Amino acid sequence: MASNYGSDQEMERGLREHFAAEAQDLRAPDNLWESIEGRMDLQPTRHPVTQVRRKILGALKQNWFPMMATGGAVAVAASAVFLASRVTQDEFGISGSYAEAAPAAAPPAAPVEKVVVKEVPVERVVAKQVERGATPAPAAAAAPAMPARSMTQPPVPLPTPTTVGVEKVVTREVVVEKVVEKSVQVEASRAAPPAAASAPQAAAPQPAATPAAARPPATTFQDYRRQPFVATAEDAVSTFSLDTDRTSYQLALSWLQEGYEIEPDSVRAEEWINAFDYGYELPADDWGFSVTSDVAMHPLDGNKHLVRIGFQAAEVADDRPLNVTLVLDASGSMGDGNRVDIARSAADAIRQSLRPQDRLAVVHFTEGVIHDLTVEHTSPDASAVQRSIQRLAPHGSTNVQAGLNQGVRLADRIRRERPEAYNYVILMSDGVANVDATNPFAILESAYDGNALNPLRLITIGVGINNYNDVLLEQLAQHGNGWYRYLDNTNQARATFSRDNWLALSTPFADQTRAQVSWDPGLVRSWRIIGYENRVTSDQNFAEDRKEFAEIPSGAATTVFYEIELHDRALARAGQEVTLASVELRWVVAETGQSRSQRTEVRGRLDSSLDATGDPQLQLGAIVALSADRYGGLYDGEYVAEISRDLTNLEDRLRALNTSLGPLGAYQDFRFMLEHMAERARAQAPPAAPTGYSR
Amino acid sequence: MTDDQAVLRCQNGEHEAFRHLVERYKDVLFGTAVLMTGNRAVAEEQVQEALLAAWRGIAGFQSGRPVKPWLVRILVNAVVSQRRRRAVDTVPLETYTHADDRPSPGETVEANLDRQEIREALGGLSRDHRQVVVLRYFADLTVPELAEAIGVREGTVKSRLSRALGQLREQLASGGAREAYSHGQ
Repeated sequence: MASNYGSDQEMERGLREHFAAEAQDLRAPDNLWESIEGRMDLQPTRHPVTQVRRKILGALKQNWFPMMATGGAVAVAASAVFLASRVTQDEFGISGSYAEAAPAAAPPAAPVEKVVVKEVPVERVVAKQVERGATPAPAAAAAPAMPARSMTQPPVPLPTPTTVGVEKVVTREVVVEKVVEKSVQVEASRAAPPAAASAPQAAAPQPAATPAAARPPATTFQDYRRQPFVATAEDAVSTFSLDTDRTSYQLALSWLQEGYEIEPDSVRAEEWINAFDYGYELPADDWGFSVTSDVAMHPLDGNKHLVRIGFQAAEVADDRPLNVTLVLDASGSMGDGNRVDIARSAADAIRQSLRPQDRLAVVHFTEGVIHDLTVEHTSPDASAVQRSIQRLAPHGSTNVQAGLNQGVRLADRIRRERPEAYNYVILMSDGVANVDATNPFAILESAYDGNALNPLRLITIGVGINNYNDVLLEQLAQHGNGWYRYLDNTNQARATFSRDNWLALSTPFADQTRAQVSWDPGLVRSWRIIGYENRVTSDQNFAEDRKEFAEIPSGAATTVFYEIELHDRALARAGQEVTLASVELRWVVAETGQSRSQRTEVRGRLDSSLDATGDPQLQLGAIVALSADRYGGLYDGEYVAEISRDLTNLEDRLRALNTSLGPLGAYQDFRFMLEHMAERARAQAPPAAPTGYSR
Repeated sequence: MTDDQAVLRCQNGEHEAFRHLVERYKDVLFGTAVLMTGNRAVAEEQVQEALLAAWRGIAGFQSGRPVKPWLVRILVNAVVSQRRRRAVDTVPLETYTHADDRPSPGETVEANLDRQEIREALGGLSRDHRQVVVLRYFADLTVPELAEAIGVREGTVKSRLSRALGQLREQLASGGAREAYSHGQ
């Protein structure tokens, strides 16, 4: 072990010493000067500061003249600053605003982008969000439904505020609907696309440049519209599947760390919320869940309240053996960056975490299954397994369907041989399927598993930044009775599948887990769930055990936030504790297949501010939930000023919470993210209207 | 010749003055590039490109400003541009090191082991975190210079540095998982 670095100062000293030693080995080649001298022009180029100025003036004349004619000096000045930064960025590919700086070496050529907006059939349960998709446009419907506000800052309007006039479809059938997926493909050799590259955003003018202006090329994700406020007079019941994924958060963090923007439509707020540990108490026994609820005044809107409900699964010890089938994507796209290393590390960490009574098989696939590398179920210590994992090497195209089919065949065979074991099929891929079936439902259909009593649990592990298909991996896991994780480096891969983590993750506690919150229409005027857009389901589905509901591993927690608006009669009871809703959970016990349910109430005082709760974890959760929710709204391009204001407010709140939260890595990551999110929103927000006052 | 004098003479087209700057800063630029890209050949190419870009742009350089951060910034832009064109990708940091891990003359075995461990821990950092560590402690930029070099706010630099130091300490102590996330992270 290295010397002791107990404090940051010691670490800094250690690093300086380390780099001083490294510097001895990192001397530039002696002939460096000779290599460049021959390529130097006789005179340094006059730096085009004047050209930049000329461009600004030209652009002002061309595009902003009407504004100069009608707007104030402030607006013109702001636009000049914006144009200056745009010109500087466009010309030199740098993000600073120093016009005197030299150009970046070899500024990237303008990327050639193919914006592909394709329609892909996606099978979805008929649910409330689908029904409400047909409600009138937001701006038209928003005003009448909202009561008069006394606040100086109005709340962010939401897409569809009430369910007034919408018929509720009650069905248990699965329908096929057309959902538009966006895929922006950029020629790999020139990939440096601007943020506004996606099809819907390209049409709208970008008011300002953002600090990290690129989106990862060829990523595929899906925008699920944010849930609206629902009047309890129309519908007082909210039903949704629990969720323990946190991939949307992890992806966003990785994008940002790699210099890309967070795509607003990639944000699934529930996965951001569930990335954090809120320290819920474990249930007293392992029969069910502990359910925690909190009510506080809304931090962004004085007319609303925020409700948090946390579901904490029991930690159970289960000695049942495991049958694990690794399905490894060995296609060419996995050669990008360190994807193969990550997949290999994760696969090997899982292998090492398995116990002697477990069995492990390995399948590699490209355009088909690589039979030479397939290892049927055997002891995790078998050298054939180790060799197969180590030989993961990328080439060829991607046939996820072939790989999964083979994995399911092997898994089904071992399940029949060892019926006492739990069964996991673990797919590691970047999700870029391009041979045979490429949509999740077609793939799942061919890898269908009809055994509900002892199901195959499909875990998807995503790797890679560019050229990544989030939709495929998320949907495969959601409908494959499993869960979805994203890994961005080998350390994280090893940590995620360390023995302790693996033991918890691989011990299923509850299957098909869903919750139903019934609001008291006498107290609550309207409610809105934050996130869970593709987990919300119709109230009638609650009664049924359905495969698409969540699988909850032992000891895992799920948190949900609601924004609610109360009736005046409820507010009159502000000083008392009131019961706002009842909550029911239903699930199938993984070990026995027995269906269970549990009920509790949401109680709380209505006069307590978020800060006054004295619970930093609750405050953090609220900030995470609202930030993710608001930022996701940037995708629509509406209400940008309100979103920007809310994110700035949340950024301030998080800063104020800094001391109570402490220096843990997760909080620092999130601070870093929120800073960027708020900055991007501010950059997109229209310049403030002139007030008539001088500066 | 001071940097200021050299810059002025460069602006008049004197190659020798630029050679002076190159000789003064080539090691720190090359080392930074190696630590950022993990590859000596790529680093050499990027340093050459950056220096040529600096020469082309030196007429616009405001005299009196420090030269090193300016050069480092051009280098960072060169590396990032190149990375975006995907010619350079995430090469593990360890790969730039020597084929053998024998201690350098005068270095104890223990010190050599420390170096290996720190290299590995640096290799485990995200690219952003590694970048700020290298620029701060190897290139010896101040926080404001660093913020300017990578185009982010000083607060962001500080938080990245603090996070990176925390991660390094954690990895060097145990190689453990990230804290505070819900389990399974």
